[in-house]
Amino acid sequence: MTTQPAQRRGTRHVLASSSAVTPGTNTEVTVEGRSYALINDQGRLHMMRNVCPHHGAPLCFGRVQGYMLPSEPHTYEYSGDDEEHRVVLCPWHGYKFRLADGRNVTDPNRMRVRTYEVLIEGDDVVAYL
Amino acid sequence: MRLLGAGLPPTNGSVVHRRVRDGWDVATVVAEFEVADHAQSLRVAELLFDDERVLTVRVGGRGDRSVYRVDVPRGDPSARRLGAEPAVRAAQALGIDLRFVRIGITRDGLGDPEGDPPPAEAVPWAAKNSTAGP
Repeated sequence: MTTQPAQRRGTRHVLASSSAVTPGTNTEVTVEGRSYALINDQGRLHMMRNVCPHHGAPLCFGRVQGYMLPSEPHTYEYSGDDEEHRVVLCPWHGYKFRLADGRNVTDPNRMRVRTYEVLIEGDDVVAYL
Repeated sequence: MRLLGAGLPPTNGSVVHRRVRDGWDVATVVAEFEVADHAQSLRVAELLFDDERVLTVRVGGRGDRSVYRVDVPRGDPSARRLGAEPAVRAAQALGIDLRFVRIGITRDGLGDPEGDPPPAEAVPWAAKNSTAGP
């Protein structure tokens, strides 16, 4: 979640106080008229555009979880809490988007939603947009 | 590159720069890229998402429709043209044909109630719904 300062382009926006965004919660934040989903997954903050690529559902209402990984026949492997495999489920049709990069689980290269870096600065949750 | 269905956006007159009036709307663009194969559809998705204004992409394969969403300034009469730009650029970069099916402008990206219907030549199958008599 950290980047070099040179990468932090754009305007600094305080999204919320860190105490207000508790683990396990999704929050809709609006910045300059644009809606974003701010997701605290087990203490890890993620931010993505609040629109599903399928039919436009607000992703902030989606459940956050892991998912079943590809595996050999008759074996089942659940991603669990692995950060790279945590997803938000679209509340309407269940499409899964990885929190890490916004890519759809089943068609990662052709279906995705834009994600943004979120930082904790003092008591503030901020994004540079 | 052949381009169908984009329609003519309302004229902008001589005004070049427009300020953001009251935030942003979301243009939901439905288009058909004449991709040759799976790899080309992946490339279309890449090119679309390279545009920072594009917030979601869902690119279909050969013969499928693709949908993407773009931030456009609220109330800007050139919003449809702005929404169409990423697709036009992607099609030009790949040298493929592009057919716009619908461009809808809404506040939240849901549905496209304001989307103008495409011109008839872009959707020949729609002719069967015509109420025009013989």
